[in-house]
Amino acid sequence: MPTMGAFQKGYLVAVILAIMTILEYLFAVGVSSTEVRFAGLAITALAKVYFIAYYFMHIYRCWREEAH
Amino acid sequence: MAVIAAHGHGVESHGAGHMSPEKRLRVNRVGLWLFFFSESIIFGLLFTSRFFLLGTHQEHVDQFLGLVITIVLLASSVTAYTAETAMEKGNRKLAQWALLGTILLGVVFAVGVGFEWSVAEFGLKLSEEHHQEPQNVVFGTVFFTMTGLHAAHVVSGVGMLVLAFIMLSRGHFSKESHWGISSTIMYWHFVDVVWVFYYPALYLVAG
Repeated sequence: MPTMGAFQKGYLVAVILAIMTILEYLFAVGVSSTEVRFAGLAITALAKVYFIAYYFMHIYRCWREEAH
Repeated sequence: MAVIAAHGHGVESHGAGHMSPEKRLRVNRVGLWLFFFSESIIFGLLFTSRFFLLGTHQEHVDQFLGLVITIVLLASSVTAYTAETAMEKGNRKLAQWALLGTILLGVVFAVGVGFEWSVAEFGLKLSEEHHQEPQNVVFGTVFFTMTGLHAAHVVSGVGMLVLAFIMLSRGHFSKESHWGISSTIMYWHFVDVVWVFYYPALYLVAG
């Protein structure tokens, strides 16, 4: 998302996270296999954490020399 | 808190005076991430103990309430992001409103967790009148410990957000120097990250 403004980028990530949260809920109540449900929830959680850590917490700034 | 105060007033900490502002900011960031790492160990141990003690077993919890408070916490991350981005662009007014929104959503989340505790059908000790079995109590212990520790972080995060809001309202921080706000907001996002794991582990894993 290199050409987007900071606000738009954040709101797009928020929409993606909201959709993932609702899909996570529907997946959990709709899938009967415990193993499949566990794996699906784990993958969704890791994907959500990536989005939050990268776009909201700016983890990449730890190894990049830049001011605010 | 000291970090907020020091940067809000533009005061340099001892031993960091020889660093350029960019380098000091980077060191602050890495330090904060190390703090998150140490916190993750505590949260991770509780997360692991939930599955070690109970597997995927789960008592009845209010699924709708769980989804609502999760969306509330996610929304608070959006307002927190808005506040930080507004400060980076020098829009103090928007930053103030966004911080206020984050505080209110944080309080709503904490009240939601408190309500969930009040209606929970499991407890911390065996009770014959409620026909509880040992597994109910184990789940209750795990549930109250995990959500309790997380809620304590939410409450402390709200406290820091209130402090940042007051300081911003009194003219502290600028477009160039607002680490106090950035660090508080990063802490808030960390609280959200913890819930990303705790929500499915406590509410969804048993379907």
